[in-house]
Amino acid sequence: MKAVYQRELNAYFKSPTGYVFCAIYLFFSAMYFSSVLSAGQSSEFPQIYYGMLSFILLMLPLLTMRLFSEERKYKTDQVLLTAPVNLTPLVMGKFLSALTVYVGCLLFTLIYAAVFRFFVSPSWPLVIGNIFGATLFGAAFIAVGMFISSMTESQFVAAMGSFSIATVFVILDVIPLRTSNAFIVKLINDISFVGRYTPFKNGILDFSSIVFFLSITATFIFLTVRVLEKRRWS
Amino acid sequence: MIKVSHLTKQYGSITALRDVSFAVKKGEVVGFLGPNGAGKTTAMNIITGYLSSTSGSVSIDGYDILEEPTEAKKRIGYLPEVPPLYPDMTVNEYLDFIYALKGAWQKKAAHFKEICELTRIEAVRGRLIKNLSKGYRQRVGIAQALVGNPPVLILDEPTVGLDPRQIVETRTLVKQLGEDHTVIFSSHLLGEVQAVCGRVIVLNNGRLVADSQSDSLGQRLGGHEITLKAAGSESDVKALLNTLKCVRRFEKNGAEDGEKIQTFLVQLDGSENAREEIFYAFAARKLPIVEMRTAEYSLEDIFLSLVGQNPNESEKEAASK
Ligand SMILES: Nc1ncnc2c1ncn2[C@@H]1O[C@H](COP(=O)(O)OP(=O)(O)OP(=O)(O)O)[C@@H](O)[C@H]1O
Ligand SMILES: [Mg+2]
Repeated sequence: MKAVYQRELNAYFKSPTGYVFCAIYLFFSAMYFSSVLSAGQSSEFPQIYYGMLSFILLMLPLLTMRLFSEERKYKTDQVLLTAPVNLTPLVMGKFLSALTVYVGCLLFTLIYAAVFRFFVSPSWPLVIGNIFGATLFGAAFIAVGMFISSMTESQFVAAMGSFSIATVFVILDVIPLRTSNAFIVKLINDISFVGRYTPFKNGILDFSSIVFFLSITATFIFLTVRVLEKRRWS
Repeated sequence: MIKVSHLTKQYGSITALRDVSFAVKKGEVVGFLGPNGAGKTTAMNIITGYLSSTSGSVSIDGYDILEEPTEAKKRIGYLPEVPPLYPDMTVNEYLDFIYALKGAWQKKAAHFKEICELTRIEAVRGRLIKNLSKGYRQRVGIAQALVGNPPVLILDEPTVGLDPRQIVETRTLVKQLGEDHTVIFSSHLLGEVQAVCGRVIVLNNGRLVADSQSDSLGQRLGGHEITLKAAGSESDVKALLNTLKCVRRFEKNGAEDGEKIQTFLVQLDGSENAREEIFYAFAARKLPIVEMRTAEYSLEDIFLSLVGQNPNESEKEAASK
């Protein structure tokens, strides 16, 4: 697992993808930060995380598209699958490498918090709660993207696949703003990633949301292992 | 060391392997020979655990590749048809990765030095793989298979796409590796397999059609057949050949110079001084040998004699299914 994890992490910063992802993330979060800064209220700070969620959904395919598609294109999956290791640690190594890049960007926002302190002290539990929530949120969507990447040889198809799913979620999130039908609003808030994130925004560690994100993550990691296993039988 | 029993592999409606069985003993160097689409790569992918068979089983050193994959895979070094290289890594980084992936225990620096010397890639160890020539990539692929020093090596067409000098070098390397490894090596070229391997297994259209160890047709590929031209009458030559112990079978293959020179295809029993014996016997009978050479077959000849059909047709048949 460690070997794969390290290789993947290095690979992100040998190709432009790692840098592009970080650059886009930092650019948008800086925009949110400057607006939070001008509002100058401590309660506004989580907006940096919450406002970024839709961007994150749309950006994560950049990190996940190559995970397995690239291996298949270069036929390097042959060396992974004939090595004396189980599939699950291989998949976990890849998953964790993408998660590390993402969490690295998230932690960068702590610098904003430190700067913010000069003006108004941010509520630290709120900041920690948001970073925790954003990590779970990202982990779930990275698992989904990795699963899609395991199904195709083309990075482009993998990116488009997860990008489309992200788009569907983003559109779903608009619906509750337009309707007053309580049932639909509740349904969407239950299945939407952003909806499930809302408690973290307010610094609440909501148990059902944690379970929601963790089970999505676990399910898609498991499905990725299954896809790789099944391909051997095709 | 390697035991393959009743392997069958179907890709949808295409049958790539049909009931292939063989066993390889420790230290043997076995050549897999067959035309395009014969099923060589498929068989190797199954032996190394990359693919699963539709039915049948494979065991390496007693460990079943599906039931105890980790133990079995520890014992195998595999060079796939396309070397599995990451273009954005240097050779050193790549070998480091493979070393960690396989969980090798050898002292790293010394182990790498030995492998790189063997495969002659010391000079390029710091270079990015994407900038290497085809020949060097192939060698890095072999180096990768050697990491961890597995006792079994499976090499899928290691000489394809190399220049003549590198082909010779690679053959020498495989021969050298054969001294302390069990090797399966695939190729389209009979001459290459004969030069490198002690045993030849011929696959065609998914079937094992000959094995030089077990059947006589296969033994003809083992280099024990000669073409003999001698001056004399047909009956004299036949009579003499019949008396020789080292001659297993023979058949007339034409005559020259108005029946003065006879040509025979002679199958020997493989004993070491068979040719000398023939030479002295013919000399004693005053039947001068004007030519004696190892019979050379092209792959086409073999397929014609083994399966009675043109290899291209069998591929077409496979393709049309
Ligand atoms: N993934 C696949 N899906 C469907 N058919 C396949 C697949 N891989 C191989 N085949 C078919 O299986 C048969 C055997 O292929 P294989 O690659 O094992 O042959 P080979 O002996 O290695 O040929 P070559 O000398 O060209 O490398 C061929 O008819 C091929 O078309
Ligand atoms: Mg092949």
